[in-house]
Amino acid sequence: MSQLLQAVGFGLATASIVALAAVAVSLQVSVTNFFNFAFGDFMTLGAYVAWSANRAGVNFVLAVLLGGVAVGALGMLANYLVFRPFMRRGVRPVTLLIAGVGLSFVVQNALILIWSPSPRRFSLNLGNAMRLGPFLLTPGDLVMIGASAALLLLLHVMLAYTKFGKAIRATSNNIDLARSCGIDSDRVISLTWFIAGLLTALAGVGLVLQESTLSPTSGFTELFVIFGAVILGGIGRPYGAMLGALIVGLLTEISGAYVNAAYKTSIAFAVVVVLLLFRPQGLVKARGLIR
Amino acid sequence: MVYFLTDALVLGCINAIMVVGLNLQYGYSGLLNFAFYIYVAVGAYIAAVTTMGPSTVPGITYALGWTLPWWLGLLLGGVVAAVLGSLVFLLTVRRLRSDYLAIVTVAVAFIVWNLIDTYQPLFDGDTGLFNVPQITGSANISSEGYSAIMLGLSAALLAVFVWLSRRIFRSPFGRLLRSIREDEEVTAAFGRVTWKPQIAVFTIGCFLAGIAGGLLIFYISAWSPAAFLPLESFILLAALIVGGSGNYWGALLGAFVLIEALGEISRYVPNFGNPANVGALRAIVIGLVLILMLRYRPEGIIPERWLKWYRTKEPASALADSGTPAEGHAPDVGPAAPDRPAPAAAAEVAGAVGERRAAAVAGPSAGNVLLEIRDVVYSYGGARGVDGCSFSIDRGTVTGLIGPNGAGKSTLVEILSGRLTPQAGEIVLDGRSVGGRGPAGMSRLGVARTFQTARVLPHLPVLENVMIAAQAQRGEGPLAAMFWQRGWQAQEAALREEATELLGWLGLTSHLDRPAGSLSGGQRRLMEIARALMAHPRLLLMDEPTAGVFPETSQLIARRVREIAEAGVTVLLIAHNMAFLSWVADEVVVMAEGKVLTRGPLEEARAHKDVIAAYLGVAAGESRGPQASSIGGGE
Repeated sequence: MSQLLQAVGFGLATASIVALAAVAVSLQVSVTNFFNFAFGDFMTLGAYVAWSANRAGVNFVLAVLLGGVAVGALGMLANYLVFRPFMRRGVRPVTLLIAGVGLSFVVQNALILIWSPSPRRFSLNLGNAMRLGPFLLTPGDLVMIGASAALLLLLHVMLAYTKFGKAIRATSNNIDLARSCGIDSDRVISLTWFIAGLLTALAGVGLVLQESTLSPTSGFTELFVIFGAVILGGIGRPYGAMLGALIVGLLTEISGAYVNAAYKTSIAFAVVVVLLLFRPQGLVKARGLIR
Repeated sequence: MVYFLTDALVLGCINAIMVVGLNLQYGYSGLLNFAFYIYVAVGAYIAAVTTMGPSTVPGITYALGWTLPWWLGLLLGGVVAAVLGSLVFLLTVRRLRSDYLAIVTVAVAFIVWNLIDTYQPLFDGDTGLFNVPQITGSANISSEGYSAIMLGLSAALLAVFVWLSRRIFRSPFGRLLRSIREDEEVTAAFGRVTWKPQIAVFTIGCFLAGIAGGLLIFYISAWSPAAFLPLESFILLAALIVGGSGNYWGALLGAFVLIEALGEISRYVPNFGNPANVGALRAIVIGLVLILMLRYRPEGIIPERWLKWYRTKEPASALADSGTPAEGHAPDVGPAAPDRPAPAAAAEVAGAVGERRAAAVAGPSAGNVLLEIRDVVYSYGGARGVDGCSFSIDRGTVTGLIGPNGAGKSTLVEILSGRLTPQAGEIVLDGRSVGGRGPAGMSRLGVARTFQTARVLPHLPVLENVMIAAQAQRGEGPLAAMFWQRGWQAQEAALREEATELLGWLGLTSHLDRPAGSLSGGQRRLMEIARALMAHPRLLLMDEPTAGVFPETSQLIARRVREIAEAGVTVLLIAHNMAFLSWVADEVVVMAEGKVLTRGPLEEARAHKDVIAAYLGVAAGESRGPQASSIGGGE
């Protein structure tokens, strides 16, 4: 029992990272209606920028923020140069997916050129693991869970109560109608890429800190876990994505505690695939951005 | 130097087999399989462990060790990959949208990879297999000699696979796959079950992957999980798209140029900094080329449309003049224009319908009523679309369905075409209750349709767009397509001739070989009529056949619809254009708020006070009930 609860604790920590990433994906998908295949590499870039800045003596929080800005800018650039021309032409969603594969090639290998393929150590030692009720968590885990929850809450406030949030929701619901109501949907999409980029970099840093190593494929290897969470939650629904992330995170850690840990990702995938077969529309039915 | 060349060519041929297989899946039928290389790996492992002897080296473990002959191992590898592929297809592809599918294929591939990498007793885990026997057995042979032998084998297999994919391309099976790729819904509306041909071609593609994997492992003699990372699948896909997806020459070009040539060139790039840099640079080039190609030449270097898909034996000119008006110009075919003799196609339509009618007469109901709609109800969530609608249609008549927006006309047509299932009530076609049979089922019962916004298969030639609609075609299965051409070649010629005549009859003779996506709005509507007739329907449903069409084309459509009805096909059409209706319709049915308001000749219906009220939204008379009077307010 204590083993299970402990795994739940780890699962919460993993879920908080996956949730950030999944919400970033979901936010972007909701306004553009396609999956960015280079998303994993975007996460890696965020982590590298943060690591470099931190090593150059920049304060950790500031370094992470720098990573966020870099990924946000890359997202806007990718949207402008790669994805938007396709969307304007009205191509099949599959084409955008393949364009994303091309972008992933470019970004991932540019990371190799810049930072070399050898793994780097990136950790933040805030102290030893502590016992909190039944859970055993490090202060780093707690900071991650807290930061993730705070950011998601902030995002919720933005989506639900600000004018810009309303514009995102309108664009996601019906882009043509939003346009004809005077919403500059190009700008909304562009800014959404930026906001998603901020979250992406943060998720990337969280991911790397959890493993303590950073390599050019760090983000790519987690790509499908995150996509799985997004699809499971219902595409284009940030709240669904949080639920999906929670399920995937818990599954990974709990199964890792009972069977060979090498299979933990496979088990999470298998469960996601099976759940999808029964609910192809996702657990939370995909529709607008907010009910 | 010679060895260097043969070595590169062997790998080139093996890669080409993979890309040709991927082309069957993605190029022919639009199935995006991001995990193609997993099937290559499975083929390689199976070929290796079935031909190797039992493990003798301590610490090296792997299943089987049957010492089978190499060709059997190769075949088994292909078969196991094919079986795995069809299982994955059945589990996922059938149920998921194309872009989810791509992601799910990767998830499944990861599970397979993870299992092979971690579970040692299977294929020795992450260490992989070594010393896989050569196909020449223990014969002492130089590596130059061996690579020449392997070149012969893989080139011969590649030739066979290219030849088979060419046969598939030209067959009714190939046309069906392309049609599904372009628009699954249209294909289903003409009676096809779309997942069956897809699973067939997916399985064949995985078989090719497995064979390629077996060849590869017999050539390089070692294999480990590090050899099949997701990157490999993406490179194959990039090669296909750059070369030209859908075209087997494009697949070959992509495999040899993008994979092999680029790989060879990158050997000559001097190392700089980290040794991984050259490889990274190569991947960046591939990524950029992929994006640029998708953007500026999405059909690839050698586009699909460059392939000839039929042999031209008969002189095309003999058929060229059978049609009346040319496209675009104003054809002088108003309803008042003197009737020219209907071309052979119309007679053929009449003949085909005649046969069907004869069959119907012999059947249980020989009455004059073809279609009866009884109290049909359909609502979208809370909003009612069709709300207790009843009327019947006689054989060989043209019935116009009119009414204000939101009256439920299109919903009714969707129900009749099988796309929607009525929630209550009954649809009786020729004495048989037919509600809820789905589009394919209704098509097989002789219901054909045109769409509210004309739907074409944009990248296919107009002729193929029409031919796809013919029912009960032979050669739509994979085996007949590849190995029994004689069974369907005569039929193909006949179908092509019929489609050519129908298109000529509708004034599209000069567009037969143009991609349908290049047709104008009016031409698309004409093509849709030809397509529907190609199915030899007894009931033709037309949803606004003249919307957004030049008046001249409307007149042509009107004339043709009359002739179709005279040939014995019953027509139900939605229209808003009163002049058009007065030319074509024997009778109109007026719908409002999901119910039939009245029916009769157009002039009578137009004069009916309820109809005026329904169109103008003013309550007139008590028949409308309290709800409607409240809309009318101050009457």
